[in-house]
Amino acid sequence: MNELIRQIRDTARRLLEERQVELVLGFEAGPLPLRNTPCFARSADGADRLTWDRACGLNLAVFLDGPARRIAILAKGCDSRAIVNLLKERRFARENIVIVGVPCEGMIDRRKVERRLGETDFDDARFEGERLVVRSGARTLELPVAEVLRDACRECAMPTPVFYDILLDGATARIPAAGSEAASPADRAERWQRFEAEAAKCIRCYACRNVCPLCYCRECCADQSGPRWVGPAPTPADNQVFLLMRALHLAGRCVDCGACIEACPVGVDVRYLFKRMEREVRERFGYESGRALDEKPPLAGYGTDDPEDFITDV
Amino acid sequence: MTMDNKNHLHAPVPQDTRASTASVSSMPSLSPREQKPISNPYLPLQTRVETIRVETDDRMLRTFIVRFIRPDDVERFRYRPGQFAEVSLLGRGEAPIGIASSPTEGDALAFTIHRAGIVTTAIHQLRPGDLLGVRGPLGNGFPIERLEGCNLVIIGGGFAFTTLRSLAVYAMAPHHRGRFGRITILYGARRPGLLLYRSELREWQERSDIEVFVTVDAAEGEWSGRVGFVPAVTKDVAPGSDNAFALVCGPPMMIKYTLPILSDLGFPPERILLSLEMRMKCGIGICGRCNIGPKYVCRDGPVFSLAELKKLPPEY
Amino acid sequence: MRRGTITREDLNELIRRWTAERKVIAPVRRDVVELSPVGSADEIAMDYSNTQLPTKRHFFRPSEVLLRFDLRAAPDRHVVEAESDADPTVLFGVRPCEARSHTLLDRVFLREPYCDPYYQQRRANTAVVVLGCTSAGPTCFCTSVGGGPNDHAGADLFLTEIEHGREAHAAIYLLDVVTERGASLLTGFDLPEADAGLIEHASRAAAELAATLKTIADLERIRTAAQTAFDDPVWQAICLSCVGCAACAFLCPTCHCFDIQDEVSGGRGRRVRNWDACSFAHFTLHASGHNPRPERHQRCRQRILHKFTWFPENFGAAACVGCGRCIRACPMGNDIRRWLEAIGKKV
Repeated sequence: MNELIRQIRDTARRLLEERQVELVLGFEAGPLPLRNTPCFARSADGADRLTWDRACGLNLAVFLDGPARRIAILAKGCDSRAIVNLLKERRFARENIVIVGVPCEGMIDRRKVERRLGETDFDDARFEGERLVVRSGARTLELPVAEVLRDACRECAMPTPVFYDILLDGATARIPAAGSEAASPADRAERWQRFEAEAAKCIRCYACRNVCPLCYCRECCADQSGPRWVGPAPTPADNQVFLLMRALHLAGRCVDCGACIEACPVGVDVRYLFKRMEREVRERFGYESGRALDEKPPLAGYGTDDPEDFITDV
Repeated sequence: MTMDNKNHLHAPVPQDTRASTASVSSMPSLSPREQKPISNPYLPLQTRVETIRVETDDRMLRTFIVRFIRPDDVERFRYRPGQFAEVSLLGRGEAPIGIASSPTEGDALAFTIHRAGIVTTAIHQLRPGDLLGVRGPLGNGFPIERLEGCNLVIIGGGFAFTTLRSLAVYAMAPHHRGRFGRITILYGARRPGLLLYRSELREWQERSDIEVFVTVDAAEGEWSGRVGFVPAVTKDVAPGSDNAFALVCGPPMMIKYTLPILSDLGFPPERILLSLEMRMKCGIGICGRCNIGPKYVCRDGPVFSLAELKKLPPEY
Repeated sequence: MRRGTITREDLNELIRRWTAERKVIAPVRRDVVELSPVGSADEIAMDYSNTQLPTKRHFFRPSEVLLRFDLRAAPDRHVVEAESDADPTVLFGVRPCEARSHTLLDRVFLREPYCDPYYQQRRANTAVVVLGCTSAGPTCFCTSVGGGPNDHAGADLFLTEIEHGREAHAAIYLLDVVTERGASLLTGFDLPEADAGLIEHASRAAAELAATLKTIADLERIRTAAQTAFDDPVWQAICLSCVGCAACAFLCPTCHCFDIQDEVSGGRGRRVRNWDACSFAHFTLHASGHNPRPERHQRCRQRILHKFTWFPENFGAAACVGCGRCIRACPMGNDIRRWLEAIGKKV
């Protein structure tokens, strides 16, 4: 057991024993390699199941509006930014959550591993320093971790939580990306082609939406039938509308945690769209999603110096 | 399949063409062109709206009398009381609606439709002469053969009286009346303006071969009839349970309080029949939406005995 | 059943012949292994674990036009039945669990007196060539639900690799002709009889592989869960991290729920059915606002009981082929094997 896991378990145990919280949200070993699964620890036993490695890519903030009253949550940099946004949007009371910040070394993009293998199945995966060793049947593949990290993690500017009650001691690593992998092609036709190809894969299972902590609407536009905003069919056109709708609704709110990309069972990746929206909001309003609790979300407020050119801009 | 006597509750009469749905393994052909087309259970039959009657003073319920555009569709749509149809407007969608008419009333069909969702709201905009799609008949319907020779106690509440009306009209028809024993009808609504089929109820009350009790939760205007909840009136009227079936449709609260009274009156669960409502799409037991445990309300129901329901999970 | 041997080279020749006269859909390795129409045998992946998506989408489309309408036409011509796209097809090289799923879907879509014509036509026009398994993936549990690496259910032809060969084209397969339709695919091809030793070898290998698969919870006991554990808190416990998406259902070879919606523009439109799933909260929502399954644990219970209690009650088998895609697809790492074990302890 490494030092970080020991700290996580000790902290969780203490918070539960001191009755500071009823529930600690963390990760435990999942059914498959590189698949840690959410752990809902309510006791010392539960705390001992907690684990941590580079396969904790889900965003646990999605569980913060559950029935438990006082919850501790393990939060990476991006998770903490999601929590900041949820607090701004008054999803729960600040005093009801204890944020345990975990410095983040970057999370594995399972899709990249699958693509390298050419298989969705692998029997075993283990970290050996900065290498990931993956076995599928008789084949073994050694991959430099940096090559299979999420794009979001490779470009992450805030791997250490920005907002926390307790900050655990751990390493962060930022592997500077060669170039922004989220950049969209400059050519309009190419951009469209890329979007079309991603949207075509979507089967409308809504895993992306449902794992997103910021996608919490009681009734999603995609589900509404009167009026019907988004066609329910998993057809190219309806998929495109759904993906665009999600990107728009998360403008200035998405924290680039990558959970939606990880969740997609068919490998749809429209991170570049979300990044584009983020850039728009940053450049126009000087706002970074989730950076600080006291910054007003620009799309939820009005400022006399708000730029207006977007109305006429084409 | 759904009741203790299998013969009486079958799904809609298979048409000749439908009977050709042989299993795949017996069909080695690889060319679609060679196959005989099979009947498509998703295709609506087109009807034309003949008459529209506003039933309730809140205008939320209207009865649509419709007639098939193609005369041979009448034969394809042979139904029994208690069955339903997927009623549809092209471009809006389908909604499962109980058939309010009785097959004894001729070729026209009647649907009394509550304006609730997108489809039913659109149907409420129709005028005489407009088209309405009808897919069915669907569901098991009331087990007429089992009811034969028995006394019928028909208990309805609110909007859910439609298929009970079908049954009542069927049983009262001159050539059917002799097949059944005493017929007692208890029907209630929240207030007089919400009673369905008011003029018909008055006619029924004049008849000597049936007993009709109409009640409202609260009187208003010139109401001189009974005032009281359906369960209380049931207790009051105390229909005999000997050789009788109780057929109950109504809102959940009415059903909840009526059932114990029927038990007290000696109705065994096998002789209390209820018609259920569920969200449905296909209506033919495929789309997986309307199940209660292993039973599909669209295909195995909508009519279930209380004895059957007691064996099913309480998810309805 | 006729059993012969065939070399990869001859198999490629057969595939070439098939592609000339019908559609051939087979596993193809792109980013991962997907089912895709192929133009030649070279595109086909024969050494794969399983395809990302199951074959059900070939018979039961994610989105499918049931009928087209034109409100400007004469009233009795408003509705036009959707044209059939059930072209003669060979579904080649799919896993035994996939072929087994077709036999389960048949029980729903082809149940008398209603037969789903869209499904039926594709099923009738599709021959299924199964590639038996020589290794098991980490999520495989087919033997627990009546299947196995050598399960011939739903297969028209069944291939078993008996010699891998140093080069791909040198591989040799045992070829079982399971149905008439399978035999018709071999018309004009002289299939040499397999010798008894080879057959024996192949079935022993399959049995050995089957033996390595762990048996999950006692499904016979779980069949009683609706009676004995319906109100048990186990349902709340297992679904704590379920977020109610449909990744499991949409990647399941046997899940078959759908929704029907109309799409219209300018008087013309279509009635379309789309995949739907019992994990969505609005799946059972009535127009009145009433919902028979408002809680997440009720929906998880529905999914499990439907597969392991009610489907067996209605159709004589579990609605699960043990492919394990739901385990791989679950964004939260839920594992149906663990769920079944937990439920099994409560019945």
